[in-house]
Amino acid sequence: MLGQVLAEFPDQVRLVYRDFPLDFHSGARPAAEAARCAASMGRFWEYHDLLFIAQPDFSRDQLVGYAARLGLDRTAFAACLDGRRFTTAIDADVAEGRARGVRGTPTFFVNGRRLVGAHPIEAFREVIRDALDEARK
Amino acid sequence: MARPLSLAALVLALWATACGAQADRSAPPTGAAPGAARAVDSTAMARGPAAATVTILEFSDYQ
Repeated sequence: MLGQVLAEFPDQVRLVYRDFPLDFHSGARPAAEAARCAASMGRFWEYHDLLFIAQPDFSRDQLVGYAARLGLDRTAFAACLDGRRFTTAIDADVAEGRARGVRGTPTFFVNGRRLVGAHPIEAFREVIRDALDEARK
Repeated sequence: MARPLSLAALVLALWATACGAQADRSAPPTGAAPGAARAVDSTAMARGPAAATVTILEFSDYQ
């Protein structure tokens, strides 16, 4: 859905993803670690999209399998995942989210304006148009 | 020796300016901790032009 928003505002909107794995989602953190590994191999968004399709099947073997499906090196990906290279980076995202008052997912900030939970695309269009109007003043 | 130092200072100043602009666009809402905005994107986890007028910051998990 946000992909459609980006397509509608190609020169005006940037989407930045932050990890906020909830404690009671047991597979969320391994998935976040895996997505970071994919990012380090240049395939973050494809992997990100696969995870949303696959959820909640986030066993280690499945996470490695998704990478292989994208053509990533299975051994290198498994080493990255097992090494937990991105724990600190994910913790930093969580800390940032908490500092901003994030309590659940998804939470969005559109030029600082908070949107909590899933919203129809029209809600994003409206907030983006407001932000663009504000920027023109 | 002075020239490399001047060049380094210029690069540092340009970098700080760029980071400040990004932080302003994604500044935390009133009441959030100062300095909570991350100055530098992980570009691999962002899409859309870096100089975009609007930044959507998404906090999410996959489950």
